[in-house]
This record gives sequence, C-alpha cells and structure tokens, in this order.
Amino acid sequence: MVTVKLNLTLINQSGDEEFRIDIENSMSFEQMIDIIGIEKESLGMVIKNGRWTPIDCTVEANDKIELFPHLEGG
Amino acid sequence: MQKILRVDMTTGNIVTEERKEYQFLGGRALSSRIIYDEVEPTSEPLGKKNKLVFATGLLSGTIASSASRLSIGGKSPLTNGIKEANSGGTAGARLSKLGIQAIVLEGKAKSEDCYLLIVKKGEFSLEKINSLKYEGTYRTSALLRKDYGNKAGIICVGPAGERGLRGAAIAVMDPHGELKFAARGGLGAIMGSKGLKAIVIDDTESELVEYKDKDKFNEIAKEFNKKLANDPKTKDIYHNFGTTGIVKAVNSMGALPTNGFRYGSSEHVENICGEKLNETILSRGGEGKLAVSCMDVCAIRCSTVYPDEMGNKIVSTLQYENIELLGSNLGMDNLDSVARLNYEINDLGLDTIETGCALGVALDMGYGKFGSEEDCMALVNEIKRDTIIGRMLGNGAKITGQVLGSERIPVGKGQGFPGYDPRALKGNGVTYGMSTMGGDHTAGNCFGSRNAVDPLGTENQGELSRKLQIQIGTLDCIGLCMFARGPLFAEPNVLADIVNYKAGTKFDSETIWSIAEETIKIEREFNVRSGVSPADDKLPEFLYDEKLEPTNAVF
Repeated sequence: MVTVKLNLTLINQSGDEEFRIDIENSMSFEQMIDIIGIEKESLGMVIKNGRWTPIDCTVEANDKIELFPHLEGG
Repeated sequence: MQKILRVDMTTGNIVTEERKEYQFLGGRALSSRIIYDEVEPTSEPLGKKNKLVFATGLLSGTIASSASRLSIGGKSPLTNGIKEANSGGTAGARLSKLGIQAIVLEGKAKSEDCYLLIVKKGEFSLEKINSLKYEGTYRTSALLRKDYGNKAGIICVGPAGERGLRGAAIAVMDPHGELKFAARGGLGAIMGSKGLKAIVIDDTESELVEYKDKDKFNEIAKEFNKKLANDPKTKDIYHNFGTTGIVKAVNSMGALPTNGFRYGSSEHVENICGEKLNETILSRGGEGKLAVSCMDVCAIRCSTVYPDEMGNKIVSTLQYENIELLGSNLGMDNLDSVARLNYEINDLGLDTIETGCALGVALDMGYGKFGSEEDCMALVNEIKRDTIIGRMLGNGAKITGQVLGSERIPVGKGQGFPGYDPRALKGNGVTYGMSTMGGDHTAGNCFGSRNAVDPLGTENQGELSRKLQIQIGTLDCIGLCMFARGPLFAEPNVLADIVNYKAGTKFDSETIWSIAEETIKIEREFNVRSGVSPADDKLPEFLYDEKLEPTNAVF
C-alpha cells in the first residue's frame, strides 16, 4: 500500500486529497500519478517518506508520498 | 535625465544633481553603488557618516507589473556590511514620476527634533514634525495620508527606528493605505538615527518617466504582464494563499524553523498553513481579503488582509516569513496569535523576521513558553515600553542571544535567519553565510519546487546558491519583485529587452545578469573593507552538530 497526499491546487486537479494505492513491490512515479490523475507538468515537489525526492523516483510498498504544485520561496 | 535628491540632515540643505555614471543603474545596483562610492566602510552605521539611499528601479513608474519596488540601502547596523532591502508600496513609482532616481540621506540632525521630508514637483522641504515623535507606523502613516491625500507615497519609521534599535524596518505605504516593509538589516535604525521620521512624495501633475522607446516598451511590458498573470503560481497559488502556500512544503521537507530552531517541522502546521489562511479569510469575510496588490501595477497580488472572528482586520499582510518566524518558530498553534504579534511588531517599525528570531532566542533561554501568545506579547510590550529588555530584543537576535548567554543564535553575518532552517535546506545555508546580505530570504533563496539539488545533500549547493544570488540580485537591481521571476527566468531575452526599451541599455539574455554580478562584487569589496571577514561567512556552531528533527540533518 502506498499513501499519496496531495496539496494545494493538486487537490482540485485530482478531486481528492489522499489516495491509497495497492502495490505488491514497486511502480514508477509516472504510473502512480496516472492512477491518481495528476499531470506531471503541474508537479513541483515530491516528498517521499519525509525527504525531498527527485520527480521520477520509484515508488515502493509502504511509501508515504506528498505531492506539491510549483512553488517558490521568498 | 533623472535626478538624485541629496538631503543633508545636519544642515537641512536639499539639492538635486544629475550623475551620468549612475544613469543605467537602478534598485540595489544604484543603492549599493552610492554607498560604495560615498560611505567610509569603517563608519559607524548609526553615525553621521553613514548614508541611506532610497533608489528607484529601472522600470519604476511604468506599466510593467511588479516593477516599481523601492530599494533602500546603507551600511547595516546588524551585518556591519552593505545592505539592501526592497519594498512594494507606491513610493518608488511616485519618485520616478517626479523624475527622481534616488534620495540620498546624509548627515544627522543636530537636535532631538524629528523631521518630515516633503517631495513634490520641483519642491523639496524638511519640516519639523515632533507631534509624530515615537508614534507607531500605523498612526504616523494614517495621519500623513489624511494630510497629504490617498495618492501620496509615504515612507516612515516607527519608534524602533527613532530609538536606533538595530532590528528596525522602514515602512512604505501601498495603494490601499496598508504598510509594506523594507525590513531587513536594520535600515530603519539608520533613518531614525538621522532624525527623519517620514517622507511624503506627491507626484501630482508630474509624469517624468523617461523611455528609450515607449511604444516598444509598452508592447513587451503588456506581453510580460499577461504571462505573469496567467502563470499558475500567480493565479493558483498567490491569489489564493499569498506567499503562505509553501508552509506545508517547507514543513514536509523538515526545514520549517520550529521552537527557536529546535525542530524542522511543527505539529501545528495544519493550523498555520496557507490552506488555513485561505479558509479563515474566506469564512470570516468582513475586511478579510485575498489577492491584494502592494503596488499600483501588480499581477501577482500576494498580499492579504487577515481578519478576526468578527471580520475586523487584524493585520495586512500575513506572509510566509511572518507565519514562520512569529508562528512555528515561537511554537504558535494558530494564525490569530501570529497576526496580533505581527501587527504590534509592524507598528513598532521592527522587522518581523529579526524580532521573531530574537523572541525565539528569548523563549529558548527560558524567558517565556513556546506557544504562549501572552508570553510573546509581554516581551513585545517590553519593546513598546522601551525597557532595557525591550531594547535588547529590538536590537535583534544576535544581541538578544549574547545578552542572555545563548549558544544557539540563528544569525548569518549578525542578521536573523528567515524561515528556512539551513540544515534541511543547505543551499540557503550557503546563501546566509556567503552572500553579501547575510541571513536573508531574498538574497538567493534555494527553496524552489523544481530544483534538481537535494536540499539535504552537500553536492552542488554552492553552485545553486551562487546562481540564485545572481538571478534574484538582478531582479533587485531592476526593481522587480522576486515573484515575477517565473516568466522572466524562462525567457531572459524578454527581461533584457524590457530593460533596454525602457533604459536604453544594450543587454542580452547572457549579459543581463552582469548587473547583479557587478553589484555583488562591489558589495563584497565594501564588506571586506568594513571588516567583514571570511570568518563571518561561517554559520553558527550549533548548526554543525545539533541534529534537526525529523531529518536529523546537520549543516
């Protein structure tokens, strides 16, 4: 089971804030966002298990993923 | 040619001059250049030899969005080096419409009187205004607005600046009568030390903005405005959450300073995040507002008006840095407390970041409880009552930490850290240490959602910080808001063209960055001559060995 939490405008895009996806071993990041209905271009930041992770990471069972849209600091 | 307005506070003389060598300089490039050329690097920041420069940007007063920021520079009483802080508000555009490129404030009033500088078309005067001595920024600016009209550009300091507190900011009024702040570096203490309480700028019947090619400029500026307005960050993030949309992201990265930089994430994040701010403003209604502009022309509109439960305004604007330094850093679990602290600190004319850091140090040393608005407000009231403790706090995090015997003082070159713990966002640590501006969120902020550099890693942080110091510095030198960077960094040729059609320069997509490169070089040279050494580039020791939960990162 992978838990995916969406933030800010990504919630509007997919229609839900949190997803639980059953997987046996691993899946690609693109497969995961296909399932939850998020366009890759709208993604800005991925936090996997509490750490920043490059987009295009591999997702494994029991991972906790947080997705954010494009953001900038200041 | 635009003029430099020179105001000698010692003699009261005001003169204008044209300086050809400054013709193509604006914003931070101009303020830093004047300080570099005219201020002895070893001079006392609050003494008569320091100067304070109010510089307009290269695009100021035009139709270009978010391009009329006012750059204020001097030798900082916090970093002891050169410092620039810029602000929204209407003063920058008003000065440009009067044909004034910069105001240079020199000398120091001989008496204890405080003064108002009035700048009108062809008329400049200094008047005593002792009735406003030690008045808060809100009442000061409201009274001046009443006397000089809603369209006047107004700049002022609060009691903190007049008392020479090194955490003092300079307030600049926006088109709605709200205050924005050139907050960092203690520049308000320089203005106050010279005896200048406020500046009023009336640009009635004046339209002296000069263009190399106005038609082409307007054409490209309209195109840029459209792209900026349609950028998802503008319409989806800033219009709904202001700058606070990043709170949860920084928290999830483990970089959200919490309880005096003890932790990198807050258990109360859901109550102080951008989503909560949006929900609260919309549900309370009344005077609450989202998507408020801070300049005459701005598509970004990242300001907010935060209301209480009755819908009455508490403060405008509640920004990320305020929520961070006065919120999670002080252990707060609600936005109302943050807003009330924010209002009081604004009214004193203090930098919320510096003061938030100082309060965090005081709580960390046991002078109050994290999460207690009452304890924090009691400390703020010490500043208001001008007690010794208040003076300590108002002088910023470094002095507060030294007086209280803290080993954990979150400063870079003597200036309080902004809302990103450098252990979990190491690129910002490089910026806090290495940039000419010290611990500053606008000098090369490495928080960016599509950055390819692991914020916890040690690789490529220097390159990332260097690149961003130059890129953001370029916007500072043009007078553009850093939140306009999306479309401009994507198309640097547009950035170059927009400057060329306005100012008559000959930049291209490669050379446009040289404005900041040259500026940073002279700032660094000034700092070296002022006594800022490589040892000052080092961050506080606790960051190197105290693990930051939840990532357990060290710098």
